[in-house]
Amino acid sequence: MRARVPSPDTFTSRLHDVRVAARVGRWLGVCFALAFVTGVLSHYAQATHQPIPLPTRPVWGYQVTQAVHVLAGTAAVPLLLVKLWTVYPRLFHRPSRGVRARLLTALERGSIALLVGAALFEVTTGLVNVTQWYPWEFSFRRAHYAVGWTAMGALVVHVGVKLPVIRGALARDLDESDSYDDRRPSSPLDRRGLLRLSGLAAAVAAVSTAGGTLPSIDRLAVLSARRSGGPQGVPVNRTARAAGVLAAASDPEWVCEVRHGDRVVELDRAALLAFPQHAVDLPIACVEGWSATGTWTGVRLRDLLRLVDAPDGAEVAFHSLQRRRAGRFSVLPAPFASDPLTLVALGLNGVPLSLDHGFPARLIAPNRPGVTQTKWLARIEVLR
Amino acid sequence: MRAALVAVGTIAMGYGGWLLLSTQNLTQVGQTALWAGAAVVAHDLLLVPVVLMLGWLVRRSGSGRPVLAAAAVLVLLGPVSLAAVPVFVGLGADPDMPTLLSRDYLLGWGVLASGIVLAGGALARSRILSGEERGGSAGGTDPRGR
Repeated sequence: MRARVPSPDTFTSRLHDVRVAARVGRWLGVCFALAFVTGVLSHYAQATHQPIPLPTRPVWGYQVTQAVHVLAGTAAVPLLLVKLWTVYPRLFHRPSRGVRARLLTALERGSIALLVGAALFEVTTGLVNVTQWYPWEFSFRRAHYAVGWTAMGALVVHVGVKLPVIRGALARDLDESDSYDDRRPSSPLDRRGLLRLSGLAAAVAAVSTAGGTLPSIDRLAVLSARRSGGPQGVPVNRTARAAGVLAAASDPEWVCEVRHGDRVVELDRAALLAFPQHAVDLPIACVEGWSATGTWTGVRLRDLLRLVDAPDGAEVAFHSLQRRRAGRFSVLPAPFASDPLTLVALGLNGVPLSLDHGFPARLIAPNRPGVTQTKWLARIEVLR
Repeated sequence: MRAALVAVGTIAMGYGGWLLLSTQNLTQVGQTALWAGAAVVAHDLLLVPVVLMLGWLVRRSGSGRPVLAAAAVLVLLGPVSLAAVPVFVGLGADPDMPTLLSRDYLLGWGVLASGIVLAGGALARSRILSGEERGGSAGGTDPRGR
């Protein structure tokens, strides 16, 4: 017996319908656009040089944009799966005869393969980034960013190619029967029902899997890799042991160097505590899917920069005791360096920083990605 | 309009390709392509056939509201379970990182699944999912059965 190659007619469900695909695709496009814009913002916020610095307010800006990124990306999972399922029979459509028709079909299918591959890559790597699992050699941040552009570009090309079909499908009522329906058996679940389920599935996935990104819905996030709270009320993305800084951060001889050209000042923790101490309520948010607000106490960065005659408008680099992996280095744009809310923090929520939160001293600034809030400070360096 | 969309999209795709090639070495680029390709193959040759088979089995096993409820559970629970595979398996779990993967995920999934099964039953009894329940044709009434 020979196995038959399926054709579009092999798939008899009325739910494999362009009207469902167009409507789910519209929602999917919104999710992808939100994830893309917030991803570009996050990537820019992590850059070591920002030609146009991002604003320092609102202080919760990054907390919101990274939450939107993670929630939209996770909501896209059910929508993407439903969208691909509805158009799956098209995979077995045989192109018309003729070289030109076959070439056009090949081009269209190539662009769709790129779109599907890029989209699946983005959601898959995004989901495992949340659990900090990196079983590959490429840089997650760079590859996820680059493929995000490819996915968005391929999506825009796809919309451009299919625009008349999309417009036609959106103009037609979901409940309207057509001659194509007449050849297919009825389904207890109808097209409108599938569309409603898809929207509900997107909400369920976003809240239960990625809800940990917002403390207000954390209790509903039963499948989130993180939970609200943690040591001193804030989760820890990387412990001192995991960062390999246990000994250096615990060393009683620790000093933080503040440098501007030849001018160098070394301050130990007691010296830092002797400065006027300030308390600020600031969120810390990580694109691995969590955020928390804490009361941070410490020295205003601008007070330390005055010690080395740092000029106004200078960028400032922060070097950690950590020697490898993300978080060992960051550059603070000038508006953040001079902001009164930017601290070299020594305490969190009423007690001294724990080792895992960056003891002896760490950076905390408003509206910045968590990975740039450098822990276990070794050197603060004024750049030109 | 269409030409503009295709042009803008092509530029964005090209920029993404350039970003990848200019920031990653060849091994890294190859691995990126491998992950994207493997995801497509796993989706097209494994996941969708399994979902189609499940749909076929559900249809064969009954009709009416039980089928509607089963379809609702499949759509609501399937994708979220797939998205939660990394936490179920404990990918990235590290004894040095106590605040990562710190929930009881089996319990969480059980609670979620129970809620979805109840919701699926309620949805099947409502007019939300089915044209037949709404009394319309709705792409659901088989003309051959009229």
